[in-house]
Amino acid sequence: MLAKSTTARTNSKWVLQVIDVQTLASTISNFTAANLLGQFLEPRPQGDISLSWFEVGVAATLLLINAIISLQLGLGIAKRIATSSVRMTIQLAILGLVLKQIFELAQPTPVLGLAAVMTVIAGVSAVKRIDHRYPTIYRNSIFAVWTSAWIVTSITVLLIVRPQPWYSPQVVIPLLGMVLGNSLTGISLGLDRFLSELRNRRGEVETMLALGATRWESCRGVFIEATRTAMIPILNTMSVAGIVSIPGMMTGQLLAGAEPIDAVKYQIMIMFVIAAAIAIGVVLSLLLSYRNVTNSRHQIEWHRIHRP
Amino acid sequence: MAEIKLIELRDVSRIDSNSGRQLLNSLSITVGAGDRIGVVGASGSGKSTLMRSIAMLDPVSGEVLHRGTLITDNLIPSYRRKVVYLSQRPCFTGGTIEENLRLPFQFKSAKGYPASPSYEPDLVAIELEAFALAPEILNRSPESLSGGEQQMLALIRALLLEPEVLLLDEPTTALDPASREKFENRIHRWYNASDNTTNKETKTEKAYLWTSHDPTQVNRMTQKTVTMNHGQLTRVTETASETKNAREIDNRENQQQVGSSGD
Repeated sequence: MLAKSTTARTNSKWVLQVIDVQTLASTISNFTAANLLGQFLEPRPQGDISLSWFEVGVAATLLLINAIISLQLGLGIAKRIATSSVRMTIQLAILGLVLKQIFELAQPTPVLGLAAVMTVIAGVSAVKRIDHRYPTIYRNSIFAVWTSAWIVTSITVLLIVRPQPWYSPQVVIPLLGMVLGNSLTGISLGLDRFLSELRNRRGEVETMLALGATRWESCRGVFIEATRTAMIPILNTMSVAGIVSIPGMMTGQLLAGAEPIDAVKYQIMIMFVIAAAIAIGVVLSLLLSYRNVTNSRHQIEWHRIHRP
Repeated sequence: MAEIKLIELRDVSRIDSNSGRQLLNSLSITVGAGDRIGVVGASGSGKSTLMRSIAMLDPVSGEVLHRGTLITDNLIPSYRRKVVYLSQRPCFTGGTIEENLRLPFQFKSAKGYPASPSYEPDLVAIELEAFALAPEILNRSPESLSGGEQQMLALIRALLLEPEVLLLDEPTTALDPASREKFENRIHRWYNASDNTTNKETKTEKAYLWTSHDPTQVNRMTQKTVTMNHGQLTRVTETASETKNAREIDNRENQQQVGSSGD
C-alpha cells in the first residue's frame, strides 16, 4: 500500500509540474503559438509515462541554452555539445528501432548478435579515449570488455533474473548495456593511467629493473595505481548512491511504477554486478597490456607504446 | 692465469623501431675481469645504448654471455644485480632515501644468489661518510636532493648490491670537483677491494665501463678506451699503464688527506 501511494505521489508531482506549465501557457493564450503549446501539454492520464517528441524537444531546449551561453563566452564546446547531442539522439533512435525489431523477433540469435556488436563497439570506444597506444591494444580491450561483461551478464541473467526465455531481449540487452558502459569506462581509465604513468615513471621503472627487479616488480606500482584510478568512479557512485543521487535504472523503474523496495533490490544487485564487471575488465585489460609492453627478458618495450 | 671473461657481447645489434635508425651495429666486446674501460664518442654514437645493452635493458639481437654462459630469461634480474647500470640521470621511487636504498633488497632476485648481501645500516653509514653526506639524508625525499647528491646516492645504492661490473653512464656530470673526486676514489676502492673468496694475489674480479665527455676523467679512471661511432666500436686504445694509474690514485688520496681538492 505504502509503495503504491509513493508511486501515486510521484505521478501526481509529475502531473502538477505539467499543469504549472499549462497554467503559464493559458495566461498567454492570446497568442496562437501558445495555444499550440497548450495542445501539446494536455494533462496525461495517471501511470502513463510515454513522452511525445515535442516533450523530448523541451528537454533539448535546455541544452540549447547551454550551447548559446558557451558560444557567447567563447568556451569552444558549443560544437561538441551539438555533435554529441545529435549523435546521442541518432544512436538512441537507431537502438530503439533495432530493439523494437528484436523484441518482436524474440529469437536468441539476433539478441546475441546485437549483444556482440555492442560489446565490440564498447571495446573499441574504450581505446578511443586513451592517450597512448600499443599495437594490440584494440584486441586486448575488446577481449577484456567481452570477457568481463559476458561472464557477469550471464550470471545475472541465468542465475539472478532468470527471465523466460533466457534470451529475453528486454532483460539481456539493457543489462548488458549497463554492464558494458561501466566496464568500458573502467578499462578506458585504467589503460590510460597505466600507459601514461608507465611513460612518466620510465626512469623509475628502469632503475628498478637495473637493480634486479623482475618486470612485474618494476611495473607493480604503476599497475596498482591504474587499477585504483579505474575503480574510483564506481566506488564513488556506490558510496553516494541513494544519498546524493537516485541511480538511473532505479529512477526508470520508479517512473514505470515499480515498488520502491523492488527497485532498490534491483539497483543493489546491479551495483554489485557492475562493480564486478569493472574489476574483472580492468584487471584483465591491464594484465594483457602489461604482458604486451614487457617481455620475458624483463625489459619494457618502450617503442611499442606510442601516441595515436 | 687466464683472463676471466666477465661479459661478452656477440654481434649485438639494436634498431630503433620508430625511426629505423641503427643504434648498435653488430657490435662485439669482451669485458674481462679487471678491465677498466672508457667509452667515448659523440652524443648519439651509441654509448648509452651499449651500456644499456650490457645490462640487457633493451631488446637487442645477438648474444650476451656472463662468465661464458648465455643468460637465460629468468636469471636476468640476478644478472643485473651483478652488472649494475647507473643511468646518466639517477632516478628514485617515492618515499625516503632509506626506502630507496632498501628497495633492491626486497626484490625476488635478492634471494637468488646464496651469497647475495643484505641491507646493512652500518654499511650505509660508512658509505654516506665517504661522500661527506649527513646521515639525516636517509629520511629525506629524493626530490629534495640536488642532482649531485642524487648521483652519489645512486652509486651508494648500486654498491650496496656488491656488483661485479659497474656500467657508469656519465656518472659525475652533476658533481662539483671535490665530490667528483670522492666519487672516483670510491670507485677505486670498490675496484681494488678483494672479495672474501679470492685471495690477495689474484687479480680483481671486478670491472667497469665509464662513459664521459671529459677526456681527463677517462684518462684518470680507465686503462682502455673504446670509441663509438654510429653504433660501432671504431677504435680500442690503451689509455694509461696500470702502474701509473695506481700511483696516481695513491697521490690523490694523500692530497685529500691534506685537504686539497687536487683539481
